[in-house]
Amino acid sequence: MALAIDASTPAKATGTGTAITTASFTPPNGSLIVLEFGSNNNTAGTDTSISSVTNTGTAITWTRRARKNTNASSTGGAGTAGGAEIWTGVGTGGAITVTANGVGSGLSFEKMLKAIVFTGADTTTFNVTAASSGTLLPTVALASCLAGSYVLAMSSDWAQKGLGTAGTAQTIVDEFDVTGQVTLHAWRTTSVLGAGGSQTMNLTAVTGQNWNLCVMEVRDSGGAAAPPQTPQWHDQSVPRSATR
Amino acid sequence: MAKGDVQQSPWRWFARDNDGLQIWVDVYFNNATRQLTNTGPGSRCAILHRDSGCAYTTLVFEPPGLPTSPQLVAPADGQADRTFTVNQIRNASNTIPGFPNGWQTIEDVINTSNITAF
Repeated sequence: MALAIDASTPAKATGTGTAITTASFTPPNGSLIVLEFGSNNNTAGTDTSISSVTNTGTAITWTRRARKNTNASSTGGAGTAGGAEIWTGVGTGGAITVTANGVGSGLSFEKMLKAIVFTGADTTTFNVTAASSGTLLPTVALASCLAGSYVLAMSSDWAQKGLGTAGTAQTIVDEFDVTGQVTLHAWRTTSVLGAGGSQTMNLTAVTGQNWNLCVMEVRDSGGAAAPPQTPQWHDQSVPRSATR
Repeated sequence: MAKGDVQQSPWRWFARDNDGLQIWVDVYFNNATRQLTNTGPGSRCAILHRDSGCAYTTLVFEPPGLPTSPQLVAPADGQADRTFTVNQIRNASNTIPGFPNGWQTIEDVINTSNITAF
């Protein structure tokens, strides 16, 4: 089965509660469920890290793959205010809702949880990176990607510059823009990668962000996609007898 | 937009499906008093739109699955946007704990603990 985004993918969930819960969805057995999470905070130093992820129905083991916020254990070191994380789990074929338990509730603790369901995905190998800055636009290069993979990105903008524009060959998955508070962006490569190597995930607008960014590659369960076959032309000599 | 700005009317919540099709709701209010008002198109408070073919058909406020969670059902493919008056919004939200008279201000709506769609 080729890597694909499944139709069971639920809508984003947003809110100001400590817990953010998706609507019910039914990921196929063995599917990869990727959770993209972003959060605001009331002061720059507040750690926005998810404390736990749970689900209804058959329990799924949820694993944090990348994090960028003020926590010193963030991927590649501490980031800036707000926060972005990526988690994964494997579907068991039953209906579930997923809840991410974060930090703080009410004004200045706005959060977004976006689940994406993939079929045909490698559920054991994860290539991730993260970055942050108080200026310009979110951007980071993820090395060693394989042909046939999707690459996902999740960022927070504590400067709340508004809805974003995805970079080349990238598509906005969803966003949550809270006036005066935070803008949260989730995006991905528009298609699976045509070739392996480094993949830059970036937004091209709106500049002036105060951002945290997490990026993760979702690989095909069969490994790197095979390169396109080069047509082989063979000389077809016509026998003398056929030309009469 | 920037940190510290104040939300002006209308406020929009939206969700995109895998194909980029959207479901969204615009809610209108008085910028000064913050009270919900029937100042939107057609003298309505809320306009609920769904792109034809969008995978999501219903907005749900508060944690989904609770008997008290208000839901707004979006129009079917090809149907016009659905509209709601202030009274309809208040009646839909008066099941939320702490809101016996339903939502009164835009902050009541924006600060809902959980919003999603299905």
